[in-house]
Amino acid sequence: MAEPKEKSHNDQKPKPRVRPIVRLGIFLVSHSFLVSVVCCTSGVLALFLLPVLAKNTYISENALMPGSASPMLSNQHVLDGNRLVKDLTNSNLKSSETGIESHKIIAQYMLDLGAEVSFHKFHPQMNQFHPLHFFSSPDSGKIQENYSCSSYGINTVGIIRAPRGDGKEAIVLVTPYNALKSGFGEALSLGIAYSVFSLLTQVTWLAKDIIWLVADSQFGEYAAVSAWLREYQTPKFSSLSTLNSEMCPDINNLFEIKVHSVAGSKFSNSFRRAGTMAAALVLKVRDQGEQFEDTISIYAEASNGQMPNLDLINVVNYLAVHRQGLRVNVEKLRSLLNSSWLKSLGEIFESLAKVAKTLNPKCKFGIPATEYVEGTATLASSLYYQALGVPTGPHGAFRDYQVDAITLEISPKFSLDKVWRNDILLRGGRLIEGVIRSVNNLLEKFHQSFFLYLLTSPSKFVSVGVYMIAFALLIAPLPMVAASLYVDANSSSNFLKGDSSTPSAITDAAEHGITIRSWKWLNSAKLVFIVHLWGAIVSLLPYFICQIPDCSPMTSFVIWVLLSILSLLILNSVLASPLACVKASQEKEWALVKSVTISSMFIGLGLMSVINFATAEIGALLMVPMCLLAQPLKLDLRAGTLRSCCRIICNLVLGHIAFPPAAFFLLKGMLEGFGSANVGDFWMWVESLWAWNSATYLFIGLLRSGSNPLMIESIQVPLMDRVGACE
Amino acid sequence: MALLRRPPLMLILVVTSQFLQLWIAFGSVNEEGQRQEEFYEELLLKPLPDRKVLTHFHFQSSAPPTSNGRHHHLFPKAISQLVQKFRVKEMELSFTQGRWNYESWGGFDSIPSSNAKPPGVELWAVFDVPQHLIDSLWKNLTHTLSGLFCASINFLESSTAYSAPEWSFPPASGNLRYGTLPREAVCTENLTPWLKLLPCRDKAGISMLLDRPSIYRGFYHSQRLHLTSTESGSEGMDPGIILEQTLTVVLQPNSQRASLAHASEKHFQPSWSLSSIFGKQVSGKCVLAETSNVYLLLDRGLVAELKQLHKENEKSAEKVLISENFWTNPCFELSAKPDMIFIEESSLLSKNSSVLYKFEVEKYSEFEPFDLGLTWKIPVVWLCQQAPLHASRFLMGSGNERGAIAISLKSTQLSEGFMGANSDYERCELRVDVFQVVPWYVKVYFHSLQVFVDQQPKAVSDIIEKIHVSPSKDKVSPGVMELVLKLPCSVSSAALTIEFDKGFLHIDEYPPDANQGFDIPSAIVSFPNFHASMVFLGNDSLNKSPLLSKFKEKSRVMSYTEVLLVPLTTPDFSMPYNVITITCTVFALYFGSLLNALRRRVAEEERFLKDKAAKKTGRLPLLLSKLSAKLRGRCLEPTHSAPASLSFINSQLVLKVILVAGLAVRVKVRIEMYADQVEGAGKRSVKERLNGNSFHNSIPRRQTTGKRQRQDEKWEHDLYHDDVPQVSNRTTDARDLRLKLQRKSLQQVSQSGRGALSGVRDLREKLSGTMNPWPVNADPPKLKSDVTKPTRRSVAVETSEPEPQKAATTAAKKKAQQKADASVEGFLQSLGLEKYAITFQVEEVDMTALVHMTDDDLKALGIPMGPRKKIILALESRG
Repeated sequence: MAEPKEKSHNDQKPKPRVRPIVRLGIFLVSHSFLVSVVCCTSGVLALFLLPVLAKNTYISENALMPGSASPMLSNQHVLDGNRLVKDLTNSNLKSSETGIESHKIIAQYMLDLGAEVSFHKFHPQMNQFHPLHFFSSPDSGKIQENYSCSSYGINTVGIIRAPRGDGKEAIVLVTPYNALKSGFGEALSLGIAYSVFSLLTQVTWLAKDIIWLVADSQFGEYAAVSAWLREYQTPKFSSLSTLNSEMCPDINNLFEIKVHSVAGSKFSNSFRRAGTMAAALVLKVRDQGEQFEDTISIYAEASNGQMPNLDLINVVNYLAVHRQGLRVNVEKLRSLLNSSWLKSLGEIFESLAKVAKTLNPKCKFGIPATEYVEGTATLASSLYYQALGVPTGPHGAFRDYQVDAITLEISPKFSLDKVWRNDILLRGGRLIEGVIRSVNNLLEKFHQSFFLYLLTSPSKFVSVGVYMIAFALLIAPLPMVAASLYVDANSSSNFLKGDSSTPSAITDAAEHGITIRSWKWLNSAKLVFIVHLWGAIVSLLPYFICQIPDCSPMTSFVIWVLLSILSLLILNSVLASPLACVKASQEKEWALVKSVTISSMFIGLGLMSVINFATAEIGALLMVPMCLLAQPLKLDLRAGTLRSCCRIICNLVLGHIAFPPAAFFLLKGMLEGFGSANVGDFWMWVESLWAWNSATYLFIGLLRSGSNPLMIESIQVPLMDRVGACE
Repeated sequence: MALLRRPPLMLILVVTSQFLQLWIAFGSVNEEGQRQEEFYEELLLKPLPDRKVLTHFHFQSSAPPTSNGRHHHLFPKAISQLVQKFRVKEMELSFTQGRWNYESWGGFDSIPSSNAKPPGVELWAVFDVPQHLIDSLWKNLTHTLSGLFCASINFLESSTAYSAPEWSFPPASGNLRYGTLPREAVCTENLTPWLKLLPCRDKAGISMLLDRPSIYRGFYHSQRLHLTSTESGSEGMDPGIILEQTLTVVLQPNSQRASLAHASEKHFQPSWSLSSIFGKQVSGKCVLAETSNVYLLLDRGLVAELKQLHKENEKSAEKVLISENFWTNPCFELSAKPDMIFIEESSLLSKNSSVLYKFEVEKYSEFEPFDLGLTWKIPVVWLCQQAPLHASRFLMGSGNERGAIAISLKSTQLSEGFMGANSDYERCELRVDVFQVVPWYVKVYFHSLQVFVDQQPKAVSDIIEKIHVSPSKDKVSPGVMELVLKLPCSVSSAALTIEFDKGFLHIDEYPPDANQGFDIPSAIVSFPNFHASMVFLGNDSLNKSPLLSKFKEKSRVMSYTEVLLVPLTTPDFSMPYNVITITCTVFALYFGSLLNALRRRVAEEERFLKDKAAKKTGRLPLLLSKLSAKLRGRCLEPTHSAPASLSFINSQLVLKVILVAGLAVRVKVRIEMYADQVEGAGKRSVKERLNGNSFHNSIPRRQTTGKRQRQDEKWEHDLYHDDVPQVSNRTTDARDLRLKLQRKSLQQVSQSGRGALSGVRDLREKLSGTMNPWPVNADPPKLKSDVTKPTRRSVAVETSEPEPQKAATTAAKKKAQQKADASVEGFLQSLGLEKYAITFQVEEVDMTALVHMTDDDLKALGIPMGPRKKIILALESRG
């Protein structure tokens, strides 16, 4: 930046042409401070503008044709469904100690419809931390020897074969059901599914097979569904399970349903399959509704921020709102709904929109403040759950196998007395029927609509093209600042040399200097690498810690912290010791370290935005300001001006916020109040993250610690000063 | 048909008895004491355990080997020509919709083992020619059949679509070609030409029942055409052909839905009659048929169950079953009295035997139509006989990268009975043949084959006795796997897995619905140790019935597995213009400048520029120096201010942007045209497009938009090409000139009179006229349709015959060659040896070459002694 300018001034010659792109780059780098401030603020502002910029959803796949056929689900089917609900609740009252009775009832009902029925027995597989399995496809699980007879779940699976179809594709309907202690809601969800199922056995328009999976949710809904999917997609042909089933007597009981009960009965012990899954719907009914309206909640986030195709959500939304008169609801952060600052921000946007409208009447910008607040709350939760990488329901298991799936949770009005129950059965059943019919219409798999989006309301979304702008603005300053720091570090030394030597010797010295100087950054890169290595070690430590038996979350957390510090010290002493020798020009050294850190951060954030946008966005929000502001404490202390004081305070605050546990507690405190916060909670949270194979964990581990060089450095520089002084 | 035109004869035919009728009708044909052409129609009805009814139509026409040329009375001429032309020894073509449910509809009888077919189209054929000729014959056969049956069977032409099984496919023979189209939709368009092959169409006889809506409402229907041609005994004789047409439909009789609610009625089989399931009745037989019978089959399981029920009621159950009034027994009631009852000869395999009722249709007339009905009186539950192992196949794994195919075999409980019958149960082995074709884009790793028996991994060599693998070649041939497994008889489950990688396709190899995924055709699992045959005890009349004699044949038990759908990586076709062009532009600009910035050393550049400024007048053109001077003159004062850079940007960047935009527009236009082409050309491979037609016999162009466009003239041309070669060839040369003229006038017309709609097509035509990058063969039909009335009149005569698609430049050469060919053909025809014409054609032997051919040469061509001598004699006499 400064170099060419200086030269052109000195030489007094007509300025040689420099490429415009180079000039632009030089311009930006030279004004990096201003640019970074502008970019960061606009990035944050753009994020807050997203709810305003959200577009209305539309159904992009023409073949879906939702709602084009009138629903065929009649009262007869509803009565059938009601019968099942009644039988199930009765059986629960009779024998609650084993759930086998209710499984038999469900299987019998399915058989009576002429469906193919099979039981799938599974052992709950504990989610395990596989340090290097984050992005690999799900495997078929490990064989565990110590299965006990008592701990198994039974999924009941019914399959309707499409009468004229070729059996290449299937649609899955999942109803989680805990036979041991089922609420009324679960029974009702089975009733809805059954009424739809009984309709589908009679229809002629079916082109895809229908699988109804009654997932045994006594070990969690997700575990049952994922166990079934694992068996469906990656079965193991050599297993010990047969031996087990022989040893456990009661499971064999289960299979003794009278095979000849119905003509051409299709009950079998073997696992049954249909074709490639086109889509899956998980249906749940909440026990007690506190709403004043029948509401249906859509949960879509799967592991690592994957979302199902937007068309699936659109179809559900369209059918629920326009056909069945249900209110559709997407998860939102409730705490944000009452925040006054959001409301005022919304009002500002609203008034701005009004101004814009007076200037240009065609301008359709802006939404009402209340809508803005709701949109922001939805967006925030959408971002949060995508960033967390933990699926919000059993549908997450499907996404691991590239199947589009969502969870629908119906919360009925008030109580579930007889009349309302039938109403819910009818409307819920018609909704499911409509969705299945739409998916059945599909000739190709879901591919038309968006996969990368954030929802701001059930009918509004922000697509990747829009939200990437906010992110890009946020991280744009990083390379510029890195470049400017690098140039600073180089040029300052150049000035020194330039002053001391005669102009004739410049060329020689410069050429020699360039070769040495251009490799100087390697030193700082080594430091950064070491700190990253430390981050990797710290994030792998829990794997070993959790092997320690009988450890409370609190103690394991403490062990973790202690081990981390120990490892840092060891690494520092072993690898980073040469760094201590560098004495001269600490400021330059610091600038180089910062520039390398920032560029590595930029690369990390950029890569993460491809994998999981939400994580990258939140990470960028936390870390970009910190990276830009970080400055050694010593230097600031020396300067002692007001500006540097502010900077020190900012540094300290940001440094603490960006520290993962601190951020966690802050967030938790904000949402639930500080009283409930506990050190052990963080351990639990981290444990849940790795249990779900969330990439966020890896990200936190690597990137956060990656940003640590700055903090460490800012502490270390004064330390080294002292060392130098001693010598 | 000839006899139908004579009303008095017709009258006699109807009135007189069948015997007399046959005598009169075929007396003239019969002069040499040879067998006459025969036609049989039969219908088999069978109640199925899951409340459905199986109806199996069986029509058989046979043409005996005769020497009186190509005239046929009953036999469809199209088929006999096809057999003669393509030297087909045996062929089977089936159109199927729905899946055969092996579990509830049975898998052991002769009906499922020979009539249960995979969804879509399946075609196999055995040819009676040397190996190297088979492929070209197969290709021509597919095209002919595609025209004949209005289906896209021509897609089986490409070598990626068919395979040559060595030994695992039942009519084991090296001359077999096998291909399937799993995605072909089957509809009435395929049924109508199939019915046209019957002498009575669907106007009389049993085929009257074929009511389209009720057939296509069924759960499964498979329309099959099987032909066998017996080797011609002596030279110069047409081969005898037996054409067997079957239609298997599984229907659900309408029953009251409400009754399902009652538990007691759940077990009741629905009662049905012909009129209730087809909505039609049979009013008499087809007068041209030898026999016209309807059979009702109660299978072994059902009979056993009925006996069981009888035992509870009466003692003499056995007698009741056989006795004449069984048709009004306490279990069910038949609405018509059977003419005969047969009981199956009990075999070794099972103690029970099935019962067959025979109804003769000829006794019924229009006034008293035949309507068989079955009414159940008591609930009956039974199970159909299963194949020893139930085979199913599925995909494993997820993602777009790799996966695995698994074939799982589960033993059916019913088969244990057969196994038990074997004396040494311990050492007995169950042989299973597996035949699997995998398209090339599913890249199977054959080394990864794993075998599990009873959930234990087994060494491949222990279980697999024989294996034959031909790996796929990219874009050339599919992978074929043939296995013989030896499983212990006590096996309860077995599984085979084999891993694959998913390949990438070139953009024009994707079908229009690429996002649906790609099909892996059904695997065939057959059990050579088991034969499905039913032998009925009875008098000689049984032997006459082709259906029953078919049952008597020992056919291998076979089952087809499911079709699999493999999702492959698919490019986003929806927005190639916007996304690809814009992103490419942006990337080019961005990376170009970035690379520039990174690569350039600022200091060196400065030095270089300084040097350049010093000797400025060096090699810069005058104009450029002037322009730069002017620029600098204006920009000298604000040396590094923004306007300077702006003006700089303007001068060159604008130019660049315009250039890029121009390129983008060009690319877009090209892509649009290309997209049109792709649509038109279907799945044509690039190679094919480049080479044009390399086969001697003009290969018809692809059927473009599926089956709707029928190309009748195409197959007719294929068939009758031999007869009228002169006419069509004489016109080709002249036509080329005229075509050019046409094109000229067309362009004028289009320039003046065309709307905006046809703009794109005009451009394409122009391009194809000048650049010729796309197949010329797309032009003629278009021209035909585009030519306005006055021009059409002048060429109407010439264009009436379909033109062979040959490049214009080689037309003259081709013509000469064809003329010679034709004369060879004519020469052979004069000797009655026209069936060898194809051999000569393949070897490109024309008349001049033929004259010089010696006895040994002819021998090398594979021509038998007799004809060889004839040819040489004739040549000598000519010379």
